[in-house]
Amino acid sequence: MNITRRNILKLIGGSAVGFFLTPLPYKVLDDSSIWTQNWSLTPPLPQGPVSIKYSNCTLCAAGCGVKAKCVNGIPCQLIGIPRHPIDNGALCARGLAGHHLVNHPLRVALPQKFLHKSPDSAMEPISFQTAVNEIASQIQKSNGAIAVFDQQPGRITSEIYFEFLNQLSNGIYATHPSREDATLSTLHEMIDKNNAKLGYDFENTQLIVSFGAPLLDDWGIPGRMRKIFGKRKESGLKLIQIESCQSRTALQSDVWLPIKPDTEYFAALAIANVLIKENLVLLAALRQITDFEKLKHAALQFTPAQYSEITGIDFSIIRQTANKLAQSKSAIVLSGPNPGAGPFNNETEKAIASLNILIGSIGTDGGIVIRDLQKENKNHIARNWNAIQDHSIEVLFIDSVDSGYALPWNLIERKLQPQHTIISLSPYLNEIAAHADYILPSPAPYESLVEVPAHVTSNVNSFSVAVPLFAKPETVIEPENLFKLITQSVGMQLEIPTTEEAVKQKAEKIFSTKRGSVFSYSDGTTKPVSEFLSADDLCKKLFEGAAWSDKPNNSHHPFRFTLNIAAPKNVPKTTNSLVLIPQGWKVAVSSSSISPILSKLFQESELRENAGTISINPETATRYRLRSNDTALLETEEGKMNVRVKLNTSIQPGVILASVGPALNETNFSDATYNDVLSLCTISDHGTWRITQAKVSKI
Amino acid sequence: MLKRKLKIALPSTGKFLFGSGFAGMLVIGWFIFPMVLYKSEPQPIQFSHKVHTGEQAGMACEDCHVISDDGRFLGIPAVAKCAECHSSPIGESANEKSLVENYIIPNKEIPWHIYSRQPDNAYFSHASHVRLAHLKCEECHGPIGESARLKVYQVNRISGYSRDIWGENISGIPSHPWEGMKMDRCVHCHEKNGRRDGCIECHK
Repeated sequence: MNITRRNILKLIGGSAVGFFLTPLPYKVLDDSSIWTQNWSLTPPLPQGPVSIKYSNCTLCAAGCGVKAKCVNGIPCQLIGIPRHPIDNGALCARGLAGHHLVNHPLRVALPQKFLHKSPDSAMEPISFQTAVNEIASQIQKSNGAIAVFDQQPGRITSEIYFEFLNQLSNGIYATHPSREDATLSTLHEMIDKNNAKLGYDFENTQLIVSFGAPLLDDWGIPGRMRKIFGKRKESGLKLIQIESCQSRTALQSDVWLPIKPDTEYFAALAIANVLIKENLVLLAALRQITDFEKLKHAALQFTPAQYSEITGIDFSIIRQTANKLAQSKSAIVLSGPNPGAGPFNNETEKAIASLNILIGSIGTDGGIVIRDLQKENKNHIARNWNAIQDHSIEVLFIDSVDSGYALPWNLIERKLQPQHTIISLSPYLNEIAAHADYILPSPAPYESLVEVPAHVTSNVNSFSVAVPLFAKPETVIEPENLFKLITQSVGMQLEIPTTEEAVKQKAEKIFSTKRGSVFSYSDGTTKPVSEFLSADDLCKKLFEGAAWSDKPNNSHHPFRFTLNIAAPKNVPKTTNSLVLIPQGWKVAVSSSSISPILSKLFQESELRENAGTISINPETATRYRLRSNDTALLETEEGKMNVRVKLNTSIQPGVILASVGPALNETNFSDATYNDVLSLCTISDHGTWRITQAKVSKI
Repeated sequence: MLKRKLKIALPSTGKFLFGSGFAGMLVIGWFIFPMVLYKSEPQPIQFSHKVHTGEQAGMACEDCHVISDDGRFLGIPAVAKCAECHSSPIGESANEKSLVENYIIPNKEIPWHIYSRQPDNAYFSHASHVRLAHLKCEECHGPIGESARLKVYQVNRISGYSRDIWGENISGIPSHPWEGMKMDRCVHCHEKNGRRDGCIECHK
């Protein structure tokens, strides 16, 4: 046999062909992939008896019911509660992974103090008592305001904040500027001498005109919205989305009106213009408005052609929209803050809210209904963050929970005195907590008892309890216990109930009204409150896992409205420069609020963009010589940062959509080099940050 | 002449080597590779299902492999269950003696090698399949209740799981409907029965 180089190659070739006709390569590949599951770094799952616990998600104010499958008492899986009357048994992606948050890498497990005021200052552990003494001394000698920033108002903890601040002459209770009930709260302010709580009767409405509200992207109670829009074919519900970008909600709407950025105020006035000029305003509505002439003056200030020019929407489409609103049996007009870009300014909110009054949707089925007529304590009036005087706060407490909406640090900073103390109660070192002087960590989600009141957009009252699924570490403290220590140290006489006591009081109140019914999580049954033997019996049921929901109010109250609509002073100028619009996803605008294991949504698949990504139209990209995945320099008057470019044809030319998503895993927020896109946004005089002039260039 | 004929009949060296490589690799892949891949490990004692399910004892599968009231499958019975009948040796076999002396008297669990052990991220509910889907044990486990001896436990040297997960046939094509416990088998059966499940049904 003649062995040549060519023959050896033939032997190898034959072996190679044979190799792929055997199971060897495929089996080794399969086994190797399974082998990777057994690496020592892979955390082993707990083994042991399986049990079921019930609770409620507190990652956002929706408070969805949760069934937790536990192994050895440790929750391993969270799912929704089928047939839940409020959330319809749905949990969002973040809620499904809510039990991961106790082990979040950004968790702060000990009380900490930042050594000095600089972004890269180090934290050092401090005892609760020492921290409380230092903070109490700061409160006692303060000349400026003492503020509490409550990110989920309406809870029992919020009541404690009120009581604490009421005892101070310089207390400020502040809420997040981004509110899902922005239209409702604007209407509430327009109502004369009334404290009615309002809600959206989406279940019975025929038409929703939404100014940028991400209704189909986890807005409000996601399960409720999913159910309502899931039945839109049968119910005949139509959605008109007025938004500058083709968001997920715009994509699923019946009509998307691509408006020029930041011209929603003019679009709302244009609709009012048609309603007024074509006599589509209800006579009854006219009688309810005390200052209709002001609105008329504002709406008729521009011609149809001018409105078209300003908003970028053909006036015939605006006319059609107004006519649909007037002719629809029931309709709702609402605004919604973008989780990243934040709220509209007050004037825009007022213009949008007043459309509901013009079409007579207040107090009607399928419109904006009265949820509750309970009187509120006037001392408890919350102040929107923007309503606070600049440079007035000396001591600021930032609440432990997350609103789910972004807030630029610049906006907080402008309200602070030069010498200030910030106390974060967050269990995580996130983008805001990194600016604090003290981090006094609260328990993480599912580590403490938390009450879940009705969602602010809900049309009925409800109440349930999030019972802990994990034991909390001894090194964290509930906000009510922290404020108990502070009040004692300051020398205040304040009775602060525990959450358990407050829940019992709430149960007694519900029991005494005998209203509504209680839905049991374990067996899916509903029992009227009148059939409970005692308040204790009702309370026990709530702790076991249940949701109380009231029956609809159905009251028709004769309201009087003062709109206070101001005529537009300035028409937005057309500019050739780029505009930066932050874009986020509810409860995912902060790295600490989602499980880092949700990397499939963010870091791998990019179904949702990470922080540090911008999306632009290919036309804009060509203009600035950018290509997909290029690294570019994004500059505004506030600063600059490096970003990754993505191309998206659904974005208007000239617009930069910058993602306010979670930062990449292992990002250090207290690092001086860390920069998020919100810090590049210009804060307007109205306290909004929706639009910023920007430049982009290839690096 | 003969020499010439032979020369025509024999392939060239190159073709021969190509064929040898091809055939050699087939032998390695189909016969030698499984022998190398799997390592045999003896069970701690021998066990006859046949003796227990046959006329002698007349037991049913669920007498030992219990699904508890709350739906948990208790798997291989604890030694206490064996002790209900085997508190003292029944017969004189070495296995019987070992069972009583090494496990029942010291109340020590038998370290069985589990043929069906799955990765931790795969959840399987016996209760759903037996009580709700009314599957019989044999449909997935074959006629194991009639076996007189436990078959040799073979562990995959790479993945660490039993050969029964992949199936007896190295090609992955089952010789019997109950062979193999890979995900494609679950998917195939679910599709056949009109079930449309998401990932989270089995992977938590």
